[in-house]
Amino acid sequence: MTNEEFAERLDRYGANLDDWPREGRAAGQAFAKTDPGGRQLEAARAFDALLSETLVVPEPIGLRQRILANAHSRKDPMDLVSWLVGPLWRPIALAAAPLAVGFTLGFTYPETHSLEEAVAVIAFSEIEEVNGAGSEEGL
Amino acid sequence: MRLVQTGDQQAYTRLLDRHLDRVHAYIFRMTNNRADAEDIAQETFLRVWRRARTFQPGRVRFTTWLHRIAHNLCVDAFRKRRDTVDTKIDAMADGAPTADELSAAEERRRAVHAGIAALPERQRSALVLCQLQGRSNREAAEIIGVSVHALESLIARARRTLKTRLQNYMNLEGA
Repeated sequence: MTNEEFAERLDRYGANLDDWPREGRAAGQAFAKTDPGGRQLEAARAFDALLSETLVVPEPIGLRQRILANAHSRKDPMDLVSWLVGPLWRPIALAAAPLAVGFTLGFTYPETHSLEEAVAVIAFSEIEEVNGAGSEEGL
Repeated sequence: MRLVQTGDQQAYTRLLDRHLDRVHAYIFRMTNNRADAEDIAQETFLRVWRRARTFQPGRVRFTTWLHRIAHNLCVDAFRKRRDTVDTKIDAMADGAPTADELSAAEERRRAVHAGIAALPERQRSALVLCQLQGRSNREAAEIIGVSVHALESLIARARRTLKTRLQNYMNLEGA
């Protein structure tokens, strides 16, 4: 392994040689024992340490509670969509629901009433009410 | 996660406890801004709750799915605030304290943060996921949406760029 190849692999796979892909790992470990390899490995480890030591993450205060409070109070408009794209029975059930309501209403409506009768009842009931009220006032 | 998909709030709380710190750390390292990190972490976990039913266990690992949500939200935030961020960085450069005014440790910390913030978005994400979050190259590639080979190239470029920029601080480290 050359100096350049070792440097390239250090950049790609990091300074922990055990994490390197199996192919080339043994050659890398052997090269790391040489002087130039050892220097490169030391520099790569110093770089890793610099990153992990300096990139300290501040503790989020109250974030957990805010997330829980919001999650349990908010509804997503995508919920219906995601519900529908689930098992096949769901969209079928949604399409069948209005049909079921229609059948139920149709079969429970009294058979003695034709459409004309129903219209006449609606149309004249108001007139009768007015007339009735008028005659009551007349009394 | 299966319980969360059924709307189990206790399962969601356990899931939050298990993953919040790691996801928040990823977002903070990406944004380098405390308020943004908390906002994006909150939105990430709200999406997990609201869209749990869209998660398909056989297709992707939960941690990959979770980090992908966080990653996409970070990318959205960068795109929305690109102008603002650029302005902030410029302003910081203009008004930044001199090296003498800062302790060596603080100066080094700022340099590392600035170096990472200046990396292109995908290089930064690749470096943070693999180097600092401990995700495997394969998982990080899935999160970012690139091949493993492309991810390794991103990491290599990020490391080379940062090593050049932080050369002085690495010497300080060794001293």
